Amino acid sequence: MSIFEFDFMSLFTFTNLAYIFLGTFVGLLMGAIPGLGAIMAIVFLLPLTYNLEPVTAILLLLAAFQAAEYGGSISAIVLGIPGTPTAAATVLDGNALARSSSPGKALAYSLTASTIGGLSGGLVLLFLSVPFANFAIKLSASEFFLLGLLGMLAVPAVSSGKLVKSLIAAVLGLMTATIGMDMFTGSTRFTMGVPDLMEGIGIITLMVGLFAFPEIFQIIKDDLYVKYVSNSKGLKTSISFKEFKSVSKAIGIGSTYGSILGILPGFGAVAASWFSYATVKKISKDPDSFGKGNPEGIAAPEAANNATVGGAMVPLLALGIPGSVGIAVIMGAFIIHGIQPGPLIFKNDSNLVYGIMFGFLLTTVAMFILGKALTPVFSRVLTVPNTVLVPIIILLSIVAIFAESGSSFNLWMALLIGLAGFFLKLLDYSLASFVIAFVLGPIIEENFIRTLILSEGSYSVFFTRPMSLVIVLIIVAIMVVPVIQKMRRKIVSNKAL
Amino acid sequence: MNNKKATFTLMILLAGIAIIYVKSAWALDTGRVADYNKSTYPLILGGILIVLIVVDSLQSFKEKAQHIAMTNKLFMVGTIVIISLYIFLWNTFGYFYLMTFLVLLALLSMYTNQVKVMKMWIINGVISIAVTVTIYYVFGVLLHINFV
Repeated sequence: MSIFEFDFMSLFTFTNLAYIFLGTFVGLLMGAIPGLGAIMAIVFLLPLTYNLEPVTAILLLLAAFQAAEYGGSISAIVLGIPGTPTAAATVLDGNALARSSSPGKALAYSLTASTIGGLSGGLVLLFLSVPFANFAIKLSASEFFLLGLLGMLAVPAVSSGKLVKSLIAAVLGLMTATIGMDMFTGSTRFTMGVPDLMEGIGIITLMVGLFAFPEIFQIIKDDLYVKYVSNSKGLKTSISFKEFKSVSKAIGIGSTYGSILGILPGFGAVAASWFSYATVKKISKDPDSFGKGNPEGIAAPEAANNATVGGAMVPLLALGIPGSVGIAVIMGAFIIHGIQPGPLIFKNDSNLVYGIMFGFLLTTVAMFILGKALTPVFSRVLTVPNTVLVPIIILLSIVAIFAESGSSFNLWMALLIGLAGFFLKLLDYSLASFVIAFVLGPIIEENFIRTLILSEGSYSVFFTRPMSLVIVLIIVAIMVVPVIQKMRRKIVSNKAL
Repeated sequence: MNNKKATFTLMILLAGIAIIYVKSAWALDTGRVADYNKSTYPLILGGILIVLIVVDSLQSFKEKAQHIAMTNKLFMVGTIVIISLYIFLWNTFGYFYLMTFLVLLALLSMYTNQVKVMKMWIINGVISIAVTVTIYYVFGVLLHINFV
């Protein structure tokens, strides 16, 4: 079935629409509350996906992801605190405009830009996934192994300055993924005789353990008694056509950056937001007005961070490689349903893939509708004290883990992982690298073994195939370039002294 | 807490994990799949981890020690103790919804830190009931999850 043969109307079932709106609601809420954000929203919704049809499950999570990206701007604008890291650039002009003019106006710019950015990411997903998949189908096991490595290395290399610590976290993630049954022989390994580990560590146990618990401990440590004061006046989110026209260029730039950078593993929404903010400021006729409430400074980063969601889905669907942590968690939902994303999914499960692609556009529309209706409400929710929020998150985390496994062993495991995650995070070890490696682990191992079996144990196959060699060179560049840059900076600073 | 000391403690722990992992991987070497030895991949991972631990230790050795502030330490320990007790008691005696209500009340009371104020108990009680009922409705009724 080709993309144009898909029955778009089949998506308009009550269940699909209800779950899209539920995901949007949770995403908006969690995105708006500082410290929570998109990943937590997806992690909390993951247990709900068990009993759902795969397409409904993925759309629920994508709706939450999209909405949380916009939700992050609500606290950025109203409180001056980014609800998600991706909304950090929005604070500069969003909060300034909210103070000088009206928060509603700033929120309207953000919502409009987020919607157009989301649609743009959706179109990229719609039109680029098939060519990517057609290309990917020609790749061999050795190239998939290397792409897995590339996806794993790109994220920490781009997002964190501490490469060695990120690599340690990534190797720990890969090692954790080997716990349980050997996929080639069926024998158990690294379980230490614990029967509950025979099927490995559950994806929800790991996600909640690594994201929710460390976040809770972090809030208790730093922000338990932080009080947010919200301006609840002037929250009506609407802009005129003239105002929309004034930011259309910024939205276009943000959408383009977001869609393209979203596809590349590692260049997530944070980089896209800042790149687009910097570009819009650079080409502006009035760059001095940036940071003082220029609407273009809101529109560009907000369009960019929403556009990355659709873009990041392209490598997941076409290659089976998640481009960001959020998408890695969504990949967990595919795994829960026994579906392996990758080029073959277009042939084997085309209804699901096209359903996700077209449904993605619906999630953006849902975000606009609920965003318009509920932004004033969420702006007030922001003032819920952390002393109330923390116990609720703890209980929801525990319930989410139990809902997945029905086992108390996994609760202990999540608590242990949470404590380990908290200390790793405290000492600058990247939890994002750990999760991406854990998700990519089975792909990397399976293709590594398959390659060695096909090559009769020879490792030269990774360098003799042209495509493999190209990927090897990219991996080497990703690892070596930051080191060279660091050395160069050191030489320059030594010369200056 | 000093970040340097903490990093070295972590390194020792990770080195221990790496050694146990490599030892277990070595023990896997009882069979081959075609031309592939099934302990190869885990051994590579264990080996890489050991190398990275050495590199990280050397880098950390050169870095200046910085103090890591651990504010609200008591609340953190209290939270872990309450969660552990909750899991243990729920697992042993059941009564999930009652335990959930009690653990919520305990956490809220600990964080608000106003045990002698009656009004706080009422507010915390109402919040605990509301959250417990919501969990019951969403997970118990809508999703049919049996919490025992």
